[in-house]
Amino acid sequence: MRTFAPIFTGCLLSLCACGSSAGDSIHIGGLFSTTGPNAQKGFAQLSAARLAVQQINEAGGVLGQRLVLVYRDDGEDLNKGRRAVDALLDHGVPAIVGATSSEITGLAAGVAQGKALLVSPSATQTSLATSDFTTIRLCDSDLVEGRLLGQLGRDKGRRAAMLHHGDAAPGSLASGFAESFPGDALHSLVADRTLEHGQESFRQELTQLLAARPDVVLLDVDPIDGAQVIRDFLTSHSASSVTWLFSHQLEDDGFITAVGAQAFGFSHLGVGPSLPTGRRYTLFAEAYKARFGAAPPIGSYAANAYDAVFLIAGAMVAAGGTEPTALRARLPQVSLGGRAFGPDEWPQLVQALRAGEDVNYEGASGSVDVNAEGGTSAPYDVWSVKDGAITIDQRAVRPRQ
Amino acid sequence: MPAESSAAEPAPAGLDLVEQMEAVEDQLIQMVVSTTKTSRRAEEAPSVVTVVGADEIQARGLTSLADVLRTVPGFYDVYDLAWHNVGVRGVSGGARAAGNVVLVMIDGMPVDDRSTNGNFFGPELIPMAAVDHVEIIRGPASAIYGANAYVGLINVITRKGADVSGARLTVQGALDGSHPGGGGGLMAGGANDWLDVMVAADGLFQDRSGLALPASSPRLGNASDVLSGRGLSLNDRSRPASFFSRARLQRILKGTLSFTASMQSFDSVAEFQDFGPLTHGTRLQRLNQNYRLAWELPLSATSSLSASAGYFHVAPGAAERLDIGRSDYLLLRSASSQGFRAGLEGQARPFEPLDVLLGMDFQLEDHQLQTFDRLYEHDLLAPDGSVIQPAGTTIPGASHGAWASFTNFGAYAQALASLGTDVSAVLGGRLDVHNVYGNNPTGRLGLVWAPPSSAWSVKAMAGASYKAPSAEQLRTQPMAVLDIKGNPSLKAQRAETFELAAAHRLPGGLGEVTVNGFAQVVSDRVEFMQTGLYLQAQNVASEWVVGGELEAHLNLARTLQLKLSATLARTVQRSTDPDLEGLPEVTNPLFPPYQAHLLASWQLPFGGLKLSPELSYVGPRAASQSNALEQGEAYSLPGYLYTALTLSAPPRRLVGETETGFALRLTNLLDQRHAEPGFGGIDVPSQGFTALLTLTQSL
Repeated sequence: MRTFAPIFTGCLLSLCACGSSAGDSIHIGGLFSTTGPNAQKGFAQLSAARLAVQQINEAGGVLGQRLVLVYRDDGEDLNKGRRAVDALLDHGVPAIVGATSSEITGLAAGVAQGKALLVSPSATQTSLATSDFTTIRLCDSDLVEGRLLGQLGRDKGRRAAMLHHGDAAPGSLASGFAESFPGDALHSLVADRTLEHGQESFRQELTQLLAARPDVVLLDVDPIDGAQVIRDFLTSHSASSVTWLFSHQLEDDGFITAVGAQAFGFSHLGVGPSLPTGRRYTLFAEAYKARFGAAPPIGSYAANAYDAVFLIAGAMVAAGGTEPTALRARLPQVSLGGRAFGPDEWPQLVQALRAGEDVNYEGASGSVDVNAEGGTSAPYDVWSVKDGAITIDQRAVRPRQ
Repeated sequence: MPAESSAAEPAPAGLDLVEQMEAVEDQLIQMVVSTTKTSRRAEEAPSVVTVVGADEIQARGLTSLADVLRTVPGFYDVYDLAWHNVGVRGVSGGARAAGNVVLVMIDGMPVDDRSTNGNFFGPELIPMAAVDHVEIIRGPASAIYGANAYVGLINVITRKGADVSGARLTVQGALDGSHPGGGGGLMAGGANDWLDVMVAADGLFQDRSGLALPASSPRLGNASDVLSGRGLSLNDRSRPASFFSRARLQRILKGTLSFTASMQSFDSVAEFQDFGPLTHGTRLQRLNQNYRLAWELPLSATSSLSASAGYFHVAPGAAERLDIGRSDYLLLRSASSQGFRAGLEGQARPFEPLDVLLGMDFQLEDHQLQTFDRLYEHDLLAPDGSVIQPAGTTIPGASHGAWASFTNFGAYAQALASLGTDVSAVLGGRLDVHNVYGNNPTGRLGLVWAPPSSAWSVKAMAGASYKAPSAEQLRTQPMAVLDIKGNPSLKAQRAETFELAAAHRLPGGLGEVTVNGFAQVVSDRVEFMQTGLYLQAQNVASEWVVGGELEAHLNLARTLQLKLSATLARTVQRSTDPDLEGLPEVTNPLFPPYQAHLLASWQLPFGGLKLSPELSYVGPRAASQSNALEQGEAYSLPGYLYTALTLSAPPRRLVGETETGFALRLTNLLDQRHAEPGFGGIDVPSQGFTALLTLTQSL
């Protein structure tokens, strides 16, 4: 009986491991907005995840099996997103890289709770990381970005206005921005407009907003609506001297093309995730360009999606299987403390995990240290559009405390 | 370069049955010039070729090249009621391609739209009355003709002035559903011992209004999409017009000088374009012009030299408007091209079994890159009522006025050897050097066994070809978000094709059957992918496509001929990412894996009338990649049955010395509607029943 016990246990473990696998492969989900207003980010994230899966497989795979990415497009639409999440869960994936947007990540977190670990590269909504312990994100929160934008806005003027989707609820980007304009004698918020998605024109909202004579205007909308706002501004209010403050959503080549590459002569600046530096990012960017023909777009969180795959794969190795709760529990062992390994050291990382070592995955996007709240902390870059292209004006900025 | 011999002549009346059959057998000896630039019997030509003659065009009442191609094996036309997107052997050009996978020429002169590399397949290409015959090659022809002779080549050979000898008036009446239309044309020609001239022009008006978006359109699945409430197509009128002229002067500098002018005026309301379906305000206009001066000099009995120079220009018409559904403005497109091409070619027979062809050409193109200006239709008002922009204001689009120059130098050589009377072989190659997309070498090898005394002939061919990225694909600005944006790093799409063909002439003049198989490997296949807020043409995949074609001409009785054609084309292997699942796997987008056409020609016993019924079955066509992504999965449009019937009479003397002829063509007799694959979330409806009466009167 003692002879058969290890064999039985081994078989049981193998069955657990195969719960999310098909034959000799382990499937993980990829939920990205490859259509819709943030498709540039979504497509770059999909590409980066594919690259990570390819590199892991070339370096030996996971648990002796081939890793396969099962991709679904959520179109940044709640109905399509729900169908996509259901399809991935029906497929039996134990972990999902995604989603691109906070809205779909929130939806997926609700649906996937307990069934799959969700690792989003770019869901910045503040409440996401604290709501559910099987959802983590590899980026900082809207609140932090809003505070930084507010502080940059104070440097440009005293009267601020906001144009954004959603509301200015506590924890939102708008609320973080508003902290810098408390309505005291020096700095005040003079207008706050919520925009509906997909309007043909925002001329009316813009005119009413500018009638309050703001010095700075925060624009936190998707690239399609953002481009329409700026085109309406250039058509109707080009004489205005207001300074525009763009959120990370607008750090997108598509936004620039839609406005017109040569049209950015007006006063503006933007904030977005800091472009990583260092050898690991360089290796990632070179491999990305070699495979897809172009560098990963600035502001796309592509490196974060790449790291998400490595983290999930590392957690699988650490857990010796693919059970979602076990993956979540093993993430700190892979991402925090211990001996540092990069994505180019996957075989060594696997060997260390098998030896029971605590490892610290240091990724292409940075340290990806998942904190107790299920998020990471990262700096921002300040950018503007010069000669039709996104130009980084200040690197690795954080809001002042 | 026109063929020396025209296609099938009608069998003369008054002969007995044996003589009739022999005459019909003679008709099957078709000469083609496009394959090797020398006139050869079709069965000896080292390519898979179909010839459609003027008599068939007249008898079936065909008014366009698209009509001609409908029943030619290996071809399939997805018509979005503006552009004909012709695909060949399972390969289509994708969104807004207008059949750019084939090279269309008139008398050897390319007449494509140089901004898009797309072709004109509608009545705007050429007055059909001016066509002597059409040579249609399936398979690669880049080894002689260079870019875009990719999976096919179509050479429209025109009549000589001597054949026209006078003037001919054409009057047409049309009916599309319940919408009347019509048109007309004039052709004149003549010749003496030193000059041969032919001039032709025509125009047509059609109204295709009243069509709905097919229910298969992915965007209709979204109830909140504005498309759901746009109703039927309105004022969907097309006004194609064409002009063609050629003059040949003998004994000029010891040679022959010819001047050719060809104009295509494309003018169509476009209700089913991906960028603005059913917005009721899009009208597309392109005026394409090509002029060529050529000089042919016979050096000896076995050698000749020719030189040519040409100018081309294409630009949008003044009435063009693009309606993307905005209430405040329309778009005006800037996309024009002009340039020169020149060529020098020599043919020689250095010794008896070997014919050598050497040539070079140069092309310089200036492209005004495609940009879109905003035209405000109404006063643009501020909330306080003040006018921000008055109606009629045009705001230039991004990069408006930018130009780019393309240059291409090509050199080619071909050796054609006759190994006895039964076997011939061809070996050729060409190198194109382009300043944007680099060097593109191509080649061909062919072996033909066609003994004149045998009923059988066999061909084996292999060739490489390429489709060049167009100026639009490389550099266009988008109209709006989710529209096509240029990809400056796009590479040429390449194909290597292997073909095996056999033909058998049936005994007793009963007809001929040809059958061929092909396998082609396509590399760097171009598809439009959403890579952000825009679609971009990208080199995404490699694939193997295999298939075959059957073509049979059967003389069942003295007065009854049948023509049968069938096509199989299927992608059997496609490069995929083994680490990725979930992308919709679309194979053979826009092209049916199988289709068959049966045509009959029945000489009625009175009045010289001929009845030509057509019956086609077309298999399912896979949706485009962009629609599959929109739908979330691959899907196909169901197969359909197509019917047509033509009653015609060839020109004959009814009154005095003048000749009168007519053709009444009825299409989609059963008024059955089907859908064709579209782009941008929509599929495209087919036309219903149509009737077209064409009267010709010599003057």
